[in-house]
Amino acid sequence: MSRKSQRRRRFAERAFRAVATGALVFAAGMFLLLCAGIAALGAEAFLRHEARLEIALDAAVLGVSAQASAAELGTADFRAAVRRAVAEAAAPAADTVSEIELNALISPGAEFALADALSRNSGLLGRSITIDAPLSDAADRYLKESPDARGYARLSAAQQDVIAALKAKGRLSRAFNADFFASGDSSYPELAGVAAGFVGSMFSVGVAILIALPLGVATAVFLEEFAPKNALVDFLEININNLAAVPSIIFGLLGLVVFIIALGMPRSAPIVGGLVLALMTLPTIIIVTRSSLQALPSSLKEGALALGASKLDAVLNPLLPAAAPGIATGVIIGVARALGETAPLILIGMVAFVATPPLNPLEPSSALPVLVYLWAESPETAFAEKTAGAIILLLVLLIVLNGLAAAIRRRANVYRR
Amino acid sequence: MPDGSQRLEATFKCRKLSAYFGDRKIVREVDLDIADRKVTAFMGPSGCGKSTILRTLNRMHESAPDARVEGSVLFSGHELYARGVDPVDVRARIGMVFQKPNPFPKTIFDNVAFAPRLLGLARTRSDLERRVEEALVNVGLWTEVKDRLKDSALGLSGGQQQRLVIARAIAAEPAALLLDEPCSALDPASTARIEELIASLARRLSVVVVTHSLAQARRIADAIAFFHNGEMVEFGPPGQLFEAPSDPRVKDYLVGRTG
Repeated sequence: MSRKSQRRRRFAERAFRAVATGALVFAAGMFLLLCAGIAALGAEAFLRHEARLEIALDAAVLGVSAQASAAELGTADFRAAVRRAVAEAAAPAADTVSEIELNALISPGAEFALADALSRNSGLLGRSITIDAPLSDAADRYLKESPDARGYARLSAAQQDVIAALKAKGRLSRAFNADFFASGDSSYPELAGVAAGFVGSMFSVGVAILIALPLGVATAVFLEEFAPKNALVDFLEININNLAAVPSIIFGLLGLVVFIIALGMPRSAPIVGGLVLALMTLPTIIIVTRSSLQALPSSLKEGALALGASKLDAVLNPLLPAAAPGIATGVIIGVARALGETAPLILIGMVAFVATPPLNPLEPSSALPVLVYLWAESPETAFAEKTAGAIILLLVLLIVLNGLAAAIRRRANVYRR
Repeated sequence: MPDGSQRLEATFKCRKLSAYFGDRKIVREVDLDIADRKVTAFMGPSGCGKSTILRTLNRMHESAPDARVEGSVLFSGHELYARGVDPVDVRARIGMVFQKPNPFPKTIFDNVAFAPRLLGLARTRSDLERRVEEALVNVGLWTEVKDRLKDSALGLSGGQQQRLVIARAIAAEPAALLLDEPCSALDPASTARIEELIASLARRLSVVVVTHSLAQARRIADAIAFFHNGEMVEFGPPGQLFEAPSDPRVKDYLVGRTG
């Protein structure tokens, strides 16, 4: 009888192990699939195609006088100069192509580069310079997609001939897309970058940590060690726990009403975003700090009190240092959530089109997850790879944050055995 | 509270001392005198209140929620429960060691340096190091740990940990040391070392030990207080208590019928 029940129990244990292992393998496989998918799509965001063009800055082509002033250069037709350079480089394939079709092959980034070069050195007028001009998003996608799957490439036959000619003459190259990291948003996908969103996210999260960490830890310490046990404190505790479950968009609404409308703080600014994210992270930090303090053996506090420590002394040392690994883990979970938060930032206006990264938390800015959201709903197919690229950056940041948490835990574990 | 500038008569005089948890009276009107530079042992069956009365002697009892004390404790002639006496100051002068070793999750050095740093006893780094060394020498731990002061205190064995927390307590330069069953979690060899240590400490300060072990009380105590149901039923030197106990409850305990 007992032998039979033993066999049954052994079978149950084996079955449980098999199911658990299967679940783990399944989860790991799904994760790898996700990583591979994003990496395959997003890796293209970090590379772009460029055409080496020798562009004659001819005053007649640019439509300016030979001694043009800076103001006059602002009206110069750089597009015409670029067009001519492409036509020459791809000759004779370019003969059958219209101006509009030619324009659509090279990114306006080339014109910006020319204007930039001329404004720095007006002596270039009348000479020719060689630049690596980024291709337009359509041409870039055409080259990136495999020849048998060019369903989305919207290049005419004549444009395809021009690209083929440029390629044949060795003018085309695949280069690292520095603009993706250095530039702000742009309506031209090939020029759009994450800089404004990245800097905005860093400012927002920085403000959030600066506010939420000291406030959250202090609140937790007060509730845990100093607050009297009465109905009011119980009510407060319940509400703090409930706050952790409030949808983040509500916090965005709160930020809009309180910080922007009532207090007149700037719209779209990371400081407001940081305040909103701080409010959102605060309950998490309070809850994990309290549970980390509760998890400590009471002998630690008694030991400190018995040596003549006041309650506050004991909290500062040794209680908080001993609880630090738990607190750090919770803070990083909260920060990681804040870093990926989109909804509340949209409500306070951080969804704006921001072309230049902010220099301080008061300037209008975007945020990484908001960029993902914006790009994902853009019609240009080239934004798909940008979206994946921004997601990769976000994931890398999250992995770094988690690594940091693990490192803190390991360091603290030296003294915890 | 007296300060530590000169050696005081570290005596306790408890008068009508009662301790409560909420409505439950754990210690009942105890009158007890504890002599200076002697080892006084508290004995009695489990739940008799011996640990609680120990914790009233440095005002640790009231750190628990709902705990309260009535009556009077004179320490070196000063009322510990007088209005205006800060329990934090009392605990700095009267050290306490608990049943289970409770080193902080820090280095060995930082554990012993805790009280000198907290109380501002050391003026310089070398003074601090000297105090740490002296405390560790006093508990006989110095030769074992002097090469690994920067290691975690949690890596020490149970007996070493208990000696470490005693070193941590005496580094605060207390006038009296209260030990709550300091050997109950230790093996016989470690117990013997702690007992030696208690005897040597009693040359410099008053020691009060709660113990369950008759043999231990006989070995180390100069006086034994026997508690039962929160009352002190017998008090005297070990010879008298063990050979000719006057109270029947003590007799029962000694022959193993209770406790």
